[in-house]
Amino acid sequence: MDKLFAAPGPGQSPLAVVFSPDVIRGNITSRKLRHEGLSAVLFDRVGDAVDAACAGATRVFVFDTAGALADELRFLSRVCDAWPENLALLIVLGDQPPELPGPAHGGDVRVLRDPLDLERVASLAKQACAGRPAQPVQPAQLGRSGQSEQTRGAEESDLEAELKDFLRLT
Amino acid sequence: MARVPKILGVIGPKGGVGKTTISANLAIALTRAGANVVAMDLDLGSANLHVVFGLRNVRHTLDDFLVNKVASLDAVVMDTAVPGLKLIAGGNVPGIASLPYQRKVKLLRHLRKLDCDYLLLDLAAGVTNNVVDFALIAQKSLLVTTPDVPSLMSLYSFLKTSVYRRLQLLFRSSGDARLLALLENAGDAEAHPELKTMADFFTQAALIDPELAERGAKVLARFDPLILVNRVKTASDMKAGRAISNLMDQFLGLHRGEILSIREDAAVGAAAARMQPALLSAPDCGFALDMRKLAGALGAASE
Ligand SMILES: Nc1ncnc2c1ncn2[C@@H]1O[C@H](COP(=O)(O)OP(=O)(O)OP(=O)(O)O)[C@@H](O)[C@H]1O
Ligand SMILES: [Mg+2]
Repeated sequence: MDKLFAAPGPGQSPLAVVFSPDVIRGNITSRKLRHEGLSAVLFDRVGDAVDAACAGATRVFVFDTAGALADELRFLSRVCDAWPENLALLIVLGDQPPELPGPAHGGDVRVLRDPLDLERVASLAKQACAGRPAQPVQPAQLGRSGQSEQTRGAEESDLEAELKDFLRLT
Repeated sequence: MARVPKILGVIGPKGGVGKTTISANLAIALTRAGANVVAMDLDLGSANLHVVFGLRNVRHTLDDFLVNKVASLDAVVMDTAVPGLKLIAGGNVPGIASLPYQRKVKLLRHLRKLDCDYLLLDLAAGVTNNVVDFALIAQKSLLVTTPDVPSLMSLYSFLKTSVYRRLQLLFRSSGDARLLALLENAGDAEAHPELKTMADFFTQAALIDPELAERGAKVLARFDPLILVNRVKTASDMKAGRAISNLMDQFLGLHRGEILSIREDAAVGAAAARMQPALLSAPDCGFALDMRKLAGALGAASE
């Protein structure tokens, strides 16, 4: 499985799964979710992302369609058709989302035209996860970016390190 | 002898970071300091600089010149209500957003002949060829970013593209295919981690053609942009400028970036709602103060 970030520890599945054909954008989105305290895993292969979203405790699936291939987009309707019971929300990012069948099991689909509307993604994801007892997030799972808002920015180079990370300059 | 305008490029690859707002208000601040200014809307296709000045309908736009409806750029220069400030409005001709190279060269020739002290270019968002080339026209680049990560990342990508474009033009005109190939490799960081920084690139380039490599390094050494961190609310927002200038220094070989922050100010939105630049409707607001400081940093005499 071509995961770009370490998954939560053994036996746990992430609350949020992010698929993006653009590593940098996907990276920003999953970082944002982790900043908000949700365990999030980023995938750049759609099949793996769908597998992960259908398994275990995943509540939110963020699917970035901007720049996605037709083959990748087909997976979206598959998720809607065979809506996994654990999943509460599918967030579709991009300004030309494909037509989707309505989700089963009372799930919800939201389309955000701006693929970088981080605040909106985060607030929707938090709402969706609040419905279930939230999994405590282990600090070890989070890595550097998982620091709380209070500690973030404490050191001068934090933003710079984050930028380097996003831009793959490390 | 006719004066040659100092060309200022207001650049910000992320949409909505404040390029047009800063262009309009800086233009006013410069005229208040005694300079003659032309502000020009180069956001071809979705121009709105004239709107900031409260002008809804304009008779002539830059498009008229670009599509040869008028022969001279002077024909599209308009007076504004501010003494000393003229405006070249952008039009909205579809398709004009990507201008052929020859047209750009022609435009540049005419721009240099405009009779003013400062020519301010309000550029479009994005990292298109047009934007990158227009940015190269400017003697001084004002890089506008907000303190957030997406905006800083767009700015970095823009600068990287711009650095490559500058070097590409030099190596092409010198006809050195080997340095062009090396530059292309440097653009693919995954495949060529040994060329991660511009310093790495120049080390390798010097082994191939030391003289040309040095000229390339000089091209970058001349680039002295001013980084404007706009919409600053908190002290920690100020770090954004330092973060991006450090990355420019470490990875792009751009060592001369200076930083200025511009505060978030409710007067800006209030002024925009009245279709007036904040410098006119609220000349004492914090944002106006920052604009005057910026004008001063650009060499305009103080009021
Ligand atoms: N310092 C500031 N304080 C408060 N509001 C601001 C400030 N700077 C810009 N704004 C607001 O931000 C919005 C976007 O500004 P502006 O249109 O100047 O951005 P732009 O970079 O030119 O956008 P585009 O990329 O679409 O051309 C406007 O509503 C403007 O009033
Ligand atoms: Mg603008």
